[in-house]
Amino acid sequence: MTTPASIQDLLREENQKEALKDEAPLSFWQIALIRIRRDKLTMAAIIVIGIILAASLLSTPINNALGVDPFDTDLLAQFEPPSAKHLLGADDLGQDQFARLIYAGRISLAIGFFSAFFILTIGITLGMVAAYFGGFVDDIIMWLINTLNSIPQLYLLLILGALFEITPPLLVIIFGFTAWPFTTRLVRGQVFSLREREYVMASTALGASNMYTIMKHILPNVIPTVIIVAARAVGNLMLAEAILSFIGFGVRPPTPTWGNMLTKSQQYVFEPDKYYLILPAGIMITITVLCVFIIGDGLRDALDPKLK
Amino acid sequence: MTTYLIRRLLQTIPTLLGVTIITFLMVQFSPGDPIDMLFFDPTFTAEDKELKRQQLCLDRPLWQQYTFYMVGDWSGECPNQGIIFGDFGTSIRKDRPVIEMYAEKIGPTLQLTVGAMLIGTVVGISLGIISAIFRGKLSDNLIRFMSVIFDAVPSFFLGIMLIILFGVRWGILPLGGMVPIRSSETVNLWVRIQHLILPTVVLGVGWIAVMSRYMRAETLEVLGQDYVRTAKSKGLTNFKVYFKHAARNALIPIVVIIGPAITALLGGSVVVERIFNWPGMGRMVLEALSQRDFPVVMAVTVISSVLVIAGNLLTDILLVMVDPRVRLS
Repeated sequence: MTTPASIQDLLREENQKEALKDEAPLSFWQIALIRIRRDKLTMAAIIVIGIILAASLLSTPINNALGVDPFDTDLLAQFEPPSAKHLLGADDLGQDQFARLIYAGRISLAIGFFSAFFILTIGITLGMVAAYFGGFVDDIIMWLINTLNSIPQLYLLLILGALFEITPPLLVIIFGFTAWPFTTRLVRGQVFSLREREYVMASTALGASNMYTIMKHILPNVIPTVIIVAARAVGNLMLAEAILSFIGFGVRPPTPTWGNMLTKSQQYVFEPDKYYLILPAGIMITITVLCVFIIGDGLRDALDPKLK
Repeated sequence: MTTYLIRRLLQTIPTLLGVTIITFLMVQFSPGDPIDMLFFDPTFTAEDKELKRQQLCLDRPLWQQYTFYMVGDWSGECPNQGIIFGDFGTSIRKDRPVIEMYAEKIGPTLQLTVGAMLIGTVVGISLGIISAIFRGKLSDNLIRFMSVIFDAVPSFFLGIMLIILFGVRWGILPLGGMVPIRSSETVNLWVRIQHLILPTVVLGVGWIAVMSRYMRAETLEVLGQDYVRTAKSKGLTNFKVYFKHAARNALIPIVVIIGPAITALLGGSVVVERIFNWPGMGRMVLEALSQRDFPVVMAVTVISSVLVIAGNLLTDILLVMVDPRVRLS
């Protein structure tokens, strides 16, 4: 007589033995990693993002080494074009543009990544809860999703931006609470369809609790989808941050972000000698978001080749 | 079909309620006394404020204020007539009915959004089909890469770049506005179109990206179908196979993105109107926000949401009409 639990134990032992053999089959993640390594475009994007990330994270030591500070104003250096002292020149307040650019990168990237993390946490939790409990809870969550999806998101952000003094952490919270519906809907749909799979039925039939089945069999299968969504989300949120700053309802100076640096420089479109103030911030946003999107597409191809 | 229509219509009611509740609550919880914001009058005593508060029914409980906001106060004690009867309140700064201001500004915004949608749809669909036909070839890769770039470049940066190139450097297109400043009443069509080009392109670029990706995926799906193989084996020219048999069927699911497109374009027009100084709804919202003129902001948000909900409804109905299989599920 074997109990269901011991059948599971036997299977697990069998699997472990299998994994220890030399020609053990590659895991899903190992295959994905190999695919990404072969994808030159994605690898290039990862390297570029790595450089931008490193420059942003190390902005303080880099600026110290160059003897500049993102917040120092120096009226003698007003509108100084790019030079050895001010690599990307200085603006109307004599603030060093290079120092501000890499410092701003830290803020823009942090907003993108932390908000994406926040959104995924809310999105996955609510999506699983909706699909798991169903019925009334599901109805309420779906109602919230439909409602939030019906209000143009920029308007929501603008109203909140006008009501509060926006700081980077507050912006992360605002993004978190306004942008979760997409993830939730996706996770909910996935959980619904996964619930019908044979291995989930098998798990239930073997006497596993609902919670166990969800955590052990459903969640791991939702993760690939979530990773793809996360990459897109980081890029979109960085764009949203830049747009809000640009319109004047995001993070305000003196704290630099790529968006508000561009807003400030917008007034110089008629002065070709000051284009050095416009270009860097815009190019940085574009390149960063572009790389994030390319990595997202690369991850999608690697994790879910059917979609290619 | 009729039952489906009725069910679908009823489904919009909770969403509409949700939109109005969220908008209403957000403005309610804004910091600052609404009376101070409304009147800016330093001579007001506490009693004056109390009186005004009573007249405007701002002392009523929240649920009552919301009801009045929605359907109006039928006892006539409060000034609200209710948004379902078209009363979106009065602008604090301009002292005019908000709905009147909205009616003035929606025209210019529609010009932009319709133009952007046209560009996006025509260019996007063509690129998508080309991309699918030449799958894996150079042109496919180029188009796909371009669509990612179009997604990634912030619209305001693209706008500034285009202004610098076409407006400042080459001087062939106007820098902004809808008509030249200091122009007479009648401006000929060509001048108007010139002013439209840059803003619609900036607004349409994101739409091109989305459309081409979507169309590529749909066309690829259709190209694998049996009837396309049949068409090919009948000896039809490639052009006929792709555009007569494949593209037609690939277009069906495209209607699904009309709803989200309206949302995106309405949001995007705020940014584009700001860059190009376009006298539309988006600029009105930004102005109202910076002056804390919340009735205007609330009205625009609610009306835009209604447009989005209507767009989604239309999408669903169209989908059922063009593809009878949808009704079964």
